Amino acid sequence: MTSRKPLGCFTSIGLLATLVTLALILVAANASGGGIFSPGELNAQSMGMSIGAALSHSELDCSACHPAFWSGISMRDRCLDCHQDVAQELSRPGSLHGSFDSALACQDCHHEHRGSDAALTDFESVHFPHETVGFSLQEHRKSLGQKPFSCMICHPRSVRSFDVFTCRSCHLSSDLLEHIQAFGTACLNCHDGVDRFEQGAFNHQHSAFPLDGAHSSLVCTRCHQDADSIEALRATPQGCASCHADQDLHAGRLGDRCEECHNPVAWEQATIDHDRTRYPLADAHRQIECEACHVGLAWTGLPLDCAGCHIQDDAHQGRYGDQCEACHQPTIWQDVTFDHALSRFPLTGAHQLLECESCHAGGTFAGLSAACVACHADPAYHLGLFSSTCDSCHNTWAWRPTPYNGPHSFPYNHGGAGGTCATCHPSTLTGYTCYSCHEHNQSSIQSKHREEGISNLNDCVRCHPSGREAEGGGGDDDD
Amino acid sequence: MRSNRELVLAALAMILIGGLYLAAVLWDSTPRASGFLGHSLGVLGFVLMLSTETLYSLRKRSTRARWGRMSSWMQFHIFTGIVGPYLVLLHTAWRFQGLAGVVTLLTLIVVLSGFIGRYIYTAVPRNADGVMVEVGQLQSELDRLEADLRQRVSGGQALLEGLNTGMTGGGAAVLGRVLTEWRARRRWRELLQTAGVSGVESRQIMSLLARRSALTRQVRSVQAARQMLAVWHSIHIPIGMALFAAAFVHIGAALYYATLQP
Repeated sequence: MTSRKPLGCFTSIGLLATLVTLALILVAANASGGGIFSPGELNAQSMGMSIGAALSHSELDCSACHPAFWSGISMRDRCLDCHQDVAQELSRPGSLHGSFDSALACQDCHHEHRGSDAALTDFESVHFPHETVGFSLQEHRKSLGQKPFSCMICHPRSVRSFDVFTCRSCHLSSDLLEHIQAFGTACLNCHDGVDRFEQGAFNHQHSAFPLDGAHSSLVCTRCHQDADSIEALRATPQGCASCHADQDLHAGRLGDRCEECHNPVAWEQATIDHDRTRYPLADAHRQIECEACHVGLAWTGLPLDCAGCHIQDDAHQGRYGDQCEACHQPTIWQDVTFDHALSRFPLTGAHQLLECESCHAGGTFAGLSAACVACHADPAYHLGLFSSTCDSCHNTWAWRPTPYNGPHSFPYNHGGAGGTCATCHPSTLTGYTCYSCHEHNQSSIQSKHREEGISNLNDCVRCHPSGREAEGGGGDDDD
Repeated sequence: MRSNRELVLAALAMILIGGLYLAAVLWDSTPRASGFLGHSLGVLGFVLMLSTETLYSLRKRSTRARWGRMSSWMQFHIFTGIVGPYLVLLHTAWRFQGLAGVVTLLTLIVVLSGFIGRYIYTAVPRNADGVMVEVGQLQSELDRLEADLRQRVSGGQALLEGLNTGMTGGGAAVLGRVLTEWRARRRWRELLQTAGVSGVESRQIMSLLARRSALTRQVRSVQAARQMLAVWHSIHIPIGMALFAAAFVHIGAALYYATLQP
């Protein structure tokens, strides 16, 4: 419950003020043709031709564009009543207005009541798929002054025409003069509006030729010379030699696949994979500087054999030929692994146990005779009795025992000698004795032969050629 | 400071809203009145202004539903009366054309008028609930204060007469009380220092003197303050009604020409 004192609006003075105000508004509205409700001046720019019955919007009254909302007529209908060229475009797919989403209203792009000379169109709410005409507006939302773009900025004459000079009118002032001088003025040949015009903003890493090392600091024209279209830019040769042929220290000797050894940071940082060459590096060869072999930067035509480089290091002074690798490893010269079995004189028997120097005295490895007598002199035991073919009787394990199957007038096994030469030939094969055995006691034999009148007992075989006693006229026994 | 709490809160709200608005401007551009943000500012500002005009008046006339103190409703009235118009001002996008411009102008006038009204309002003696106090009550309290003051001031009659400085009344006392009270306080301080009164005693006497001065002014000027408040009402209310009448027409026009347009 409230007091009887009325609210201010219900007091006589309050009601009077309300009525007076409404009356004044009504009068002013009538006098201004509804203009007092306008939130701002209408556009007064004339396009040089009549739009409906007027040359500009400023000549229209409110109802020309704003129908009563209960009338069933939309503002879009009112726009198209006058802008019949736009109405025709809307029915043509691919035309300027025909490219818009049909759900858009005119006022989604065209704004009024912003002043007599204000732009009617801005990009704040433009939904025109500009990329369908070959140029995206992705990077043209704001002008250099950070103001919304209007169509008129790029299309000063008509939105249906474009002069590439328009690009330069803005971008010459944005430090791109050098860019334009380098690549020409046909901006749209390369730029589709997706990237920015800022120098260096283009991300080359997304291209087919990512820029690394020293390439990343180059100006574009260093590689893209005289390129004035996107096709020309893309056609830039990517091979090293296409730009660096005049810097080739190898004078073409190594071909044009520079990247196999060099990287984009610096020429000096070459890292060749020698294993991919005809001469893979092993052991000590990996530790030496390139120039040790590639003297004078000679990268090709180098000898592949050891002697080609190490001839002056040959301790054998050429005596063993030039196949060093047959004995030596690439580690150090002293790392020798010679397989004697592959030589003319495979080592067998006791020869395997000898030091190299036993045969190769004085470091003489080549030219040695394989004959036994080259090392082993004919012993006094059978000096001059046999030829130099020792291996006819001996093997390489030991000189004795040795089988002898040669001519022997006296039975080998006389008295059970069993082929042991020393039994009958104790000091030399050129002489013999029969007195080594107890059956042939010298005093008893002399005594026995004197009884028979035999005094010359120096050559037993003369009378006993087979060792038989009976051969000399004696008893019946065989001895 | 406590008596000005609504002004401080209103200032803080304006700074906060102004900061957000500035951020929106820097982010994009000045929010258009017909845009989402601009519309929101206008709708919210108008709702606050409408609250300003209606809620306090309804509470003031309520005899049974005593929801909250009158002084609190007055603070709410002042807060919304400042912040609401501020939002409406931001809604204009700084364009003051046609009827919308007139509404903005009337809003500005009503706000300024409101500040004047508050100044006069505080000159009228009220109790803790904001209800006006009668002269008899004021005089009784003033008599008790005079007795207390005589007991405390031991400097003699001359000093007491000197301390009567600043005890004014009438219309001039209503409108020029800030200047008058400032001068009186300076005079009291000089007299007490001359009489050798200082420290806690000086501050207590100064407090009694200030209260006595206010009561004296209110007793002498209560009639004038009430008359001025009545005059102010007779000016403030018609302007406010004109403002709301124009604002409703503006809203109707916006609905007709923009919001409801197919």
